[in-house]
Amino acid sequence: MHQLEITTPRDASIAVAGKPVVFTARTTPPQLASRVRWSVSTQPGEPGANGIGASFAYTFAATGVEQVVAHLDDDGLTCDVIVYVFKTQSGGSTLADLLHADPPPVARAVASLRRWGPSTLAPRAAS
Amino acid sequence: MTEFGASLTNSIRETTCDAGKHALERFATDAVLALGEAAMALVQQQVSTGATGLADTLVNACGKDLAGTVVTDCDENGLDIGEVHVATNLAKFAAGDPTVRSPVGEISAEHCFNFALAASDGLEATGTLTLHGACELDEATRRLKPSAWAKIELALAWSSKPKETPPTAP
Repeated sequence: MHQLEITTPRDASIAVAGKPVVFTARTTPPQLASRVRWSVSTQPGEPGANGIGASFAYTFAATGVEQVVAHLDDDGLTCDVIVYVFKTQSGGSTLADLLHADPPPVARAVASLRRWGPSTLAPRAAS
Repeated sequence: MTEFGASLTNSIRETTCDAGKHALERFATDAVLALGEAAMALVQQQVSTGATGLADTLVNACGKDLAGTVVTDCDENGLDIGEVHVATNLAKFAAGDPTVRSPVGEISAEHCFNFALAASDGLEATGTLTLHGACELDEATRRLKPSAWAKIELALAWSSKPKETPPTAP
């Protein structure tokens, strides 16, 4: 059975704007990892991004709710994680840093996003 | 960040100690007649010691522990660091929820002290002093604002059966 899982970062993690976040996926069987397709839908007005492979790095620019989606197209597998990004003055993510974080330029609730979850199994393996 | 640090120390101490004093004053009027001077002196001591301990907890948290705590997860239940609880609004803030102005909510700690007030053959009187101190971001000034409350609860237990006294050695 084929499986796709986003292993890092965890769903609902905190990230800091301006610093790259590395997303990694695990597949079953492992050789499928090179075929993982990544997509990120960022705040309106910012360029999105796509990538291929077991890992994918992206640097968010502003405070906001961000969704990163991993696909294994041949198997029809999709999973996602939500990352809460904070733009802080110091570039850190301590409580003191977060207390003075910039507000998001655009409101976007998690409930408005279609979710797949961080792990998924193929109902049947692709031929 | 100075708001977390030393500038808050005095106001946290005063606010917490005042809460304990006010609770004691409200409690004392009738209680001193019912319980006696000695019991009230014990409560007074608990309030004084407890308020100081709670103030120290908050001062240490705001000055050192919390400011440097790296936040990795967006937990709706907030953060617990030792005795201190931090209410967080991280998800709502990042989502642009208009009801949330700050990603960090109230920083609070609570201490409970149990004490015995009186005991006779059939009657036992015990009490619990609860002290709660908090710091919350004042949205108007963008500074942390301390607050506190205290609660004294009494429990009276009475039994018609006299207490058994241990046998004395011959």
